Amino acid sequence: MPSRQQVEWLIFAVLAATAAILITPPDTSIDRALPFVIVLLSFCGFVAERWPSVIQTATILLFVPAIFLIDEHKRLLAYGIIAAAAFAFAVAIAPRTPSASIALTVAGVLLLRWIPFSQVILWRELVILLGAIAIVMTGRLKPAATHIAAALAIALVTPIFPARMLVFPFLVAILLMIPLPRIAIAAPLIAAAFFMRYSIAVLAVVIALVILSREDGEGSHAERSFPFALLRVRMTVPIALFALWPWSGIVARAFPAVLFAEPASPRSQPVWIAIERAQSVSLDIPPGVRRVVITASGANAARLPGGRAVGWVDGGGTRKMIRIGDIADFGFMRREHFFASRNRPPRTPLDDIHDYGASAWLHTAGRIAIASPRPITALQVTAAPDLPPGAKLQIEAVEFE
Amino acid sequence: MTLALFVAVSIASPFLLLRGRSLQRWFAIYIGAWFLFGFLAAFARPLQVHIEPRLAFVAFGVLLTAAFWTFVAQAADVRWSADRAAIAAALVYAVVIPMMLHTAIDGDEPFYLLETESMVRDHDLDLSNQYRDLAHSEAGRLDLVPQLGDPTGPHGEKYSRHEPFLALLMIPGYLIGRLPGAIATIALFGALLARSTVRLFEDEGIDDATTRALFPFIALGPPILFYAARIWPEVPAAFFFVEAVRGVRQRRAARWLPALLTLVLLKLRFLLIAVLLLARTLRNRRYVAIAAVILAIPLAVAVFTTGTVHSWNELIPGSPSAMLRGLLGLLLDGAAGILFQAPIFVLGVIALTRWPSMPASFRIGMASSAIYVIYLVPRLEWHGGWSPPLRYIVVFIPILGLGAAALWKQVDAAPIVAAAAWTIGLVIHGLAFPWRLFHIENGENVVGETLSTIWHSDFSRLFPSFIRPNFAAIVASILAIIVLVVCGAGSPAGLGRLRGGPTLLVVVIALAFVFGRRPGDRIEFEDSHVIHNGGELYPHVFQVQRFAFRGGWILRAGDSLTFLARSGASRLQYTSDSGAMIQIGRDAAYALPPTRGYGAVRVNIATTGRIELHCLSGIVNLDRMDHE
Repeated sequence: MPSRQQVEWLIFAVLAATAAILITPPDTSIDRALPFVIVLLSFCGFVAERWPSVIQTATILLFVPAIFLIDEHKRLLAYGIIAAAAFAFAVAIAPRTPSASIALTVAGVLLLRWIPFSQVILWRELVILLGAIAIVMTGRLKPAATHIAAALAIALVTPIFPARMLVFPFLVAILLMIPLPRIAIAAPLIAAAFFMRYSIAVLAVVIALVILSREDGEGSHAERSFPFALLRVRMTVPIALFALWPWSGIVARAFPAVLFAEPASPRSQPVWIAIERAQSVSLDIPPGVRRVVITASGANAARLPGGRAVGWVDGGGTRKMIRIGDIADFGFMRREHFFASRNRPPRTPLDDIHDYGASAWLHTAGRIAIASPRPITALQVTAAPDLPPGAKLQIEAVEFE
Repeated sequence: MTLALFVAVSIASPFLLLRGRSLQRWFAIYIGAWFLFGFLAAFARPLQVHIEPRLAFVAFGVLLTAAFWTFVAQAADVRWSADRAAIAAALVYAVVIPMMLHTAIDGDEPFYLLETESMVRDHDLDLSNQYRDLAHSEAGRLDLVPQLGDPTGPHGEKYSRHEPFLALLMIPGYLIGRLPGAIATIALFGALLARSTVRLFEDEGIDDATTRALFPFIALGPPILFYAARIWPEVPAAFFFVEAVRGVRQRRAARWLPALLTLVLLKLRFLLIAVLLLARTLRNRRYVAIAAVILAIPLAVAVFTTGTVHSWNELIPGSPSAMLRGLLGLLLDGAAGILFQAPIFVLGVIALTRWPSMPASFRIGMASSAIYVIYLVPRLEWHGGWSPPLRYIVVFIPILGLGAAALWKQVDAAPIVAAAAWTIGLVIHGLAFPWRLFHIENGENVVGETLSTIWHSDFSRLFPSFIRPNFAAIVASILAIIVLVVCGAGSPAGLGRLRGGPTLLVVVIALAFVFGRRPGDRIEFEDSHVIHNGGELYPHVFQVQRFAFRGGWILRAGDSLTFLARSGASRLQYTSDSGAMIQIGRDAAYALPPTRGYGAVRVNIATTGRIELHCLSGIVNLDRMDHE
């Protein structure tokens, strides 16, 4: 026989989800998933047991951006912040029991990885879910908020392509159980990350952070003192990242590179020419131009390692090499390609985010500037002759100063 | 600079109110909040989220302040006293003042300031030279002219109809800091009010935890927050009223006597409160004499300084229907009612239904306000006129707060959380957009207008309006009476039966949104859901007492309006001196004959949906269209 609280939460979840269907504009996959988000938050509120009115009110607040915010990105960020606040509150007040931690972890993973629904490959996501639960069940992370945050962090960054990477969360759970000092496990991982390719370095850094969050004892008196208490501030990091769940794919694969992304200049002119190995193209330059910025990317170039020359630009009496690191394969941050890619993000990626949720990816075009003390009269872009077959150098846009 | 001030205040306040582990825990939360804000701000750029920086900082500041006071309400290691509460409130007001000064002072504010400047510079109350030399006034308003009803002297002197006592009180602050200094005087009274309110609660046995929980709603929420940082007599009056109630309750003449005197000196209308309070103190001839003096002095000052502004006709309250409209409006109006502008004080209204069990100070205070309310509600300007909301009832808001405190422990958390969320929204809005605290009396409200503008559909009709009475007002009135009867008749535990509130709220929001996007039966052409292509508002925005006019939209040849309408016959009301020709939709044209006053024509709307009304010739003032 369901309890009164269960019935109340069920009624609230159903009615609120129905209201979301009626209210929310169907513009993006996040908007269309809002009923699902509401059900998840209601579930979190039920698990938390206390302060139901706070979580219910926070859930209702999701309707505010849906109704008042026309700007898409503003609306999604508002969803993100409200849901993250409600989830964090539920985690903070939930009972300190394994079942509650597991339940909240499941809800968090669903929020981070199961939107958009059309992109969900069910069996792979279920394996990751089990892996996150395994991390929680190690019991080596305290307090409860830490082990939920750690499990969600691992679940977030775990790639589902190739399928063998689905064991990653279980590997982390095993690492957590190893009776070695935290620093002994984390330090080599961090050191190795400098030498790994980007897609693996991300995983190594996250593992290291999770290992460092592990509790190896009851905590010394020093750790309970005021300065160490401030270390709890570190919990704001996962909360802040969780607030970006409408772009969880960006957080998983493009953080922190996305912070350095720059939007296309209003003066930027589209070119959209792709050249294969040894091919070159000339660009007309207006008179008096001394600085040209080319936005370029690779195509079928995800397997090229960082530093690999992709081509060069001749202009104004100078030659500038274009390497992986200046640019990248335009779609290497898509989840299907990310892990296998050997690229690293451009130093100044283009601020161009595609898709939402776990499928969100950063269009990793880079900007290459060519400057000359004399006016540049001509510009020639050449693809490297040793590019792999099928790989291309894409000139997306050019900007003259 | 305001940001730096906020940071300083937000660091100082915890040391004032917290200690030990609570202080440590709060600063961990505080640092984490700033980190979170900075992190999200850094991400906003690449995510192409464009938020006005002022709004973002205000929202963050208000949320952080709300979190702090929630922490103070729940924490164990708290340093709580009336003095500390007053200082904490004063610190907040210090931050709010520059935010309010983002735009020029408005309403009656500049006229109080002109009085102060006249007293400082000319040692008189004649504002003639002030009006001539507005460029050198701190008011920052070159458009000021004498207000309607301002008395003139025998030699052409121009006086203000406002009692000069407030202006007198502002002189020291003005001399120190000009306009900010003058406003700081009001804020000082706000801090004193905060202190007196806490003391009032202590006098009546309200426990500290409840006081700490309710304090931010009263001192740092609407309406007191906004009036404490603006030049109005309402907050000083509230302070004096609370002190008078405390003095009467404690039978300390040294407290209530000067408090009542200064209350009435601030505004003559508070005489209606003073009379009843004084009646409680009349125990012998000596007190009768004191009472007579208290009544006579302000009357004499008012007559001497404001001349013929007031008349004997004002002693006649008003028709019962007007009284009912004003009373329900004060409670339920979307733009000017407690429910929407200061929802936590609905608990204070509910407390009235449990009169016998309420604290003595609550009964004294509210009983003393009865005549004041009776005379207020039938006035056309019951809503406060051109001022932030709830102007005329700020004086007894702390008393309503006491009633809320008495019921606090009996109320389920759900309505309190909802009220808190709404209050936070009101504060963010009022601080980020202080000019929007002034809303023209057109029957709409900020939320309704915003929704109507976004969705081009009439959402304002969903909010009860007693300024331009609508169907929602009737529904809300009936519901309010039912709620008050139920709350009054039920057991003390009955208030806890307000569970399921969020679930009900979800249903209401969904139904309101769906219904709001459909065409209404009535289209008021001045409203924000109508897309105006040319033409002008009638009467103009700053028309004095515009609530006395039938609002509309003036169209000339070539101008048009677009709006959602229902198909079928409708009755179009308008006024036109010379007549006009309009076209509705694609095919139907209507000749509008000239009218004396308002006239009406029957029109037919072909299909339900968005239609265009085009003025083909002439000039017409369109009032509204009602579907038949």
